[in-house]
Amino acid sequence: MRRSLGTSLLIVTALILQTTLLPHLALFRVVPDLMLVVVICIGLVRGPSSGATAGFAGGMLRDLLLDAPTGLSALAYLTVGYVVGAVRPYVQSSSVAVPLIGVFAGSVVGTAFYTMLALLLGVPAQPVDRVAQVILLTGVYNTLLVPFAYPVVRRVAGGAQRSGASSGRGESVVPGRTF
Amino acid sequence: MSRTSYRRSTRSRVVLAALLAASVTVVTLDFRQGSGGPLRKVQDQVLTVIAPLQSGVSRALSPVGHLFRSVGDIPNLQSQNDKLRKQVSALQDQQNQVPEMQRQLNEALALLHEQRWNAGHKLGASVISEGPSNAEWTVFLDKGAAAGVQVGMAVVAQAGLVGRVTAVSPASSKVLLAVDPQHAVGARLTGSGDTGVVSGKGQSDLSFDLIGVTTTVTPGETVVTSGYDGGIYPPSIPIGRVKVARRSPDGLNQTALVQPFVDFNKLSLVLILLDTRPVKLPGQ
Repeated sequence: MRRSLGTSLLIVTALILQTTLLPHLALFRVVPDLMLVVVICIGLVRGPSSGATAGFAGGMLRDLLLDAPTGLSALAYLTVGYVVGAVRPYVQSSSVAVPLIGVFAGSVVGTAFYTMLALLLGVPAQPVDRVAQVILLTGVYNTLLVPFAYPVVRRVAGGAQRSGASSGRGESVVPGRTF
Repeated sequence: MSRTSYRRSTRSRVVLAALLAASVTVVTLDFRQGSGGPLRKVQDQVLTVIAPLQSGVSRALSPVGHLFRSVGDIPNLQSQNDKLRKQVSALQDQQNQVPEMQRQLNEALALLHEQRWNAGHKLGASVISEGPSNAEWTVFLDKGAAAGVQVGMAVVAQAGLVGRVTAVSPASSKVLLAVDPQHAVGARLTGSGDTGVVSGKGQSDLSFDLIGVTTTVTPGETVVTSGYDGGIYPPSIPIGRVKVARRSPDGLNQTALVQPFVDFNKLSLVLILLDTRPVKLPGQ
């Protein structure tokens, strides 16, 4: 209960920072996508269904501020949140590279997926080279946000797993460590 | 795999399927609804709730933002300073002639029954935040329906055209910027008077299409809104300056790159033109 409240707060905070602070940090006219970073981190820390739920909620909030068809970001982000959470247990490492690579790959795939969906639904697109540039830069730039976002997400969303107390409904992210 | 973990992965698959179905449903609903559908109302409500938060955070963070934006400007400051000093003295000379010119201008305008572009009722507003996407160019303003703002109204800055209002909540509104690929406006070249359409490209320059092949387009020429009857924008709002013009691939007309007068990265104060009559498009 406290964890889902914390996760909701994380998502709302990400949305507000995304629209106020982050536009000031644009490089090559590309703004990092903090919401996607938070969703991926939640997927990594809490597993596939939390990742998907966070992706759905965060994506939907973002959609409601956009002109593109509502639900597109939700679809893209929940897919990324789920896949990242589902793949995590197969990576037997607790190295810092895991969230960095996870966020980079997830951001590139998620942004590309969103762009493709928008294109299919007839949203006016930019030239292909610029789209590719935006996708790659978003990936790189999102990775730079990991050192700030990942520890916060782990603190807020990941508490119970480390203490070893199973909440009964929580998912285990490490195979063989089922309670 | 133990039975518990099997059950858990089944559960997460159910969650995934439910959420996927929910988002596809929302996309479909959004596609089918007109301008007054249920999702539209949710959108307006989200804007209502989130705008005060954005406004507060934006105000608190503005020194940080200014810092980041000005770091890039440092190398140019010295040369800019020299240039500005020269400009100041030139402008002081010019200013002395202003009262007489103003009188002449007023006379001429009265004669032509023409309106200057920002005449009429207008409302000052400040930008509280920007859109959360790299594929859409929008800003949110701190004035909304309570102050008389309606969807479709034109928004200008001191330098010229900014865009138009696309969503309104009681205390805030969303503006589609002229650089967005979804934005297009009828425009006129001030030199030849030829008209065409200026649309955004998602980059810093705008694209001016449908200029006749016989028209001479001079780089540096000013482009203004043409203000056809029934259009959103009043006539003669400055848009930008022509950079280059070239013949379109089919050879039937010319296309020019236009550098906008407004710096869309540094918008802070804008004017909403309250006299612009929002147009009802068929099917909306």
